[in-house]
Amino acid sequence: MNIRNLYVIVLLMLTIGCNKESIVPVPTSGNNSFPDGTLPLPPASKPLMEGIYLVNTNTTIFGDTMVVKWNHSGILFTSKNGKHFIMDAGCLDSVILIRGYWRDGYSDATGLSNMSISGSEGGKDLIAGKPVAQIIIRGAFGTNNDAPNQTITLQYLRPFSIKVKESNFYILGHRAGGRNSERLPVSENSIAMVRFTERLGTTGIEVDPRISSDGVAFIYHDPDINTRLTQKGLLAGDVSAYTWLQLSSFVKLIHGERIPSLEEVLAFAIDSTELRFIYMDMKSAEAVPAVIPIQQRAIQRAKDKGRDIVILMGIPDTDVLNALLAYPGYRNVPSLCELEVEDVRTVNSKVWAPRWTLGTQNDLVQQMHDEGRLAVSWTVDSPVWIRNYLNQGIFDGLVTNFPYVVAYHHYIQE
Amino acid sequence: MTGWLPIFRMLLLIIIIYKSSKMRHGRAFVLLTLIFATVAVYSQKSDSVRLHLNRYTLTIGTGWTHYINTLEIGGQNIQQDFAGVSLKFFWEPEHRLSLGMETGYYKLFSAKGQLTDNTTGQVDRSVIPLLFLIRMRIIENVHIGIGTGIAFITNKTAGGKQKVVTETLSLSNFELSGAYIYPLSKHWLLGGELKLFHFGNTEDTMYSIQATCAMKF
Repeated sequence: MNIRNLYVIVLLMLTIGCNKESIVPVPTSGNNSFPDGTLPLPPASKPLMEGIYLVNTNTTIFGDTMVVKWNHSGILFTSKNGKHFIMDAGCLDSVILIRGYWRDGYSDATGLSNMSISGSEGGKDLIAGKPVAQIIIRGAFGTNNDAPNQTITLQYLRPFSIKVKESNFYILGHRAGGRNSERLPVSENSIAMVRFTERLGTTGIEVDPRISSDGVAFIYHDPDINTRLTQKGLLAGDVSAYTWLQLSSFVKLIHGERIPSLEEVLAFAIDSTELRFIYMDMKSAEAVPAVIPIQQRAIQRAKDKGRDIVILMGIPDTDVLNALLAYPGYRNVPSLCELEVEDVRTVNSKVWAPRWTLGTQNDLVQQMHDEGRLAVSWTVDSPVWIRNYLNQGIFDGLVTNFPYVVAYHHYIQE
Repeated sequence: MTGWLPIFRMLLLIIIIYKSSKMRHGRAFVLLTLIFATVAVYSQKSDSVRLHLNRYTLTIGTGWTHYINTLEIGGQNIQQDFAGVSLKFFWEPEHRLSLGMETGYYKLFSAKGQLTDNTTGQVDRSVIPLLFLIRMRIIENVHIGIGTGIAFITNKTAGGKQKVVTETLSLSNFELSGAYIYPLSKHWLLGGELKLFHFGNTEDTMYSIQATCAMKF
């Protein structure tokens, strides 16, 4: 190899590196997206709107069917290919107005959307809280902040099946509800993400507890402070080497939020969301003794508030397992174990959580069910695998970075 | 058999341009790289003088460094100018291109920030790069260079009753440089050098103007 060829190879090494992730801005039409006089939709109307809808226009973009599902903050329209609408709704006279934006979860495509249900096409009866056999949602969607100019029409097909309504399936959003890689408007592992994630269709979250040098448990995924997760700032290196005061003063997450303490996250999830499942995926064994009392306080807080929410310590490796086993009364610590089923039994985990690459493992999952335990798989992202896991598996939930895709395949089940 | 090499090089450069267009600091770097690559790859054919081959040069340099402040958090109360030192070793297998290694010590910034209403913290960041270099003489006594390698980044944070020192290994770093090197004698050279560093892990960029003294043997 002569020197000039070596030179070209060095150039290649220099320039092929990690690309910084882009950000997809949330389209906005300003503060006046709803006309004056628009009122919140009565709570009784919401479940009547939910169900499976036929897509009558632009089926090449959104597919033939969409799932419409209300959540704590708004209403989600989701299709099988990752395209989804994050909407708010209100009523004006006999018309239901639906405003928001759409996103393609697998690309940067986004845009504003306005829809409505006229009084004669179901709006009047829905507002009155009466079941409606035929609902037509008409509207338009656009590109970025441009005015919506492409027609979309949805026709009510059927309500969710009895199987879906009676199931207790958990849609668990990764990293407090969504990763930065998905170019969401709020940062992963932040309070803002816990607030936002239900809009994506989640019913639970996975968070990543670590511990600061002065013993405060906080949530943050990576072992180091880096510009993938944080705005460029003064601190660098091992995130757990810093004190909580230093972290909370000098570090801002990628969208400007403060790194939250674990206690803050749990309190927020209990008090201000309808999430039903929190999976604390322990990032260090050293954090275990600090997290256990926080978990106990959170469980008590949920009990005091009458919240039906499962709060589990995740056991991703043998270091965390051993740290938990060293705790007196470890069998009473509600936990989720990612290891072998024997480990699940040893530590008396409430949930077994095998990696998705291991397959559906229905026989082992059934054993867990027979023992009164749940089973969830992580982290299932491909639409094909999501569909297969839901159709062929018997898991009680999936951890995912694409909760709207899981929501589509779950709610559309017959 | 050798006819495919220019095509291969061109394909690599196209890939480089494509990838670099997505990098935050990539476009200027690509432009310089293209100029450098074109001269380096094609200038050799018409220049066949080969004198004093396989020589070695040890260079020390010191001078002013400036940190380009792109901090999004805590960048308001920051000191950016410091003195830095560098040490380079070059192998000169031919009269135009040289291969070498460079290290040095540079303080990037010293910053103060509020921890609480009554408590101030101080953060100092320094770096020791260890880079592989390619240098090319473009006209008499004038050289341009490009380098890549690793860097050890040290962050010292004081305040809040605890001093924290963290070490970070940055794997994706580059350097661009231009130098004027005047030969005083057969073995001694004096010069000046302007160089730009970018450290990928922390996305820090700095430049430095240094006086250099080299010994050739």
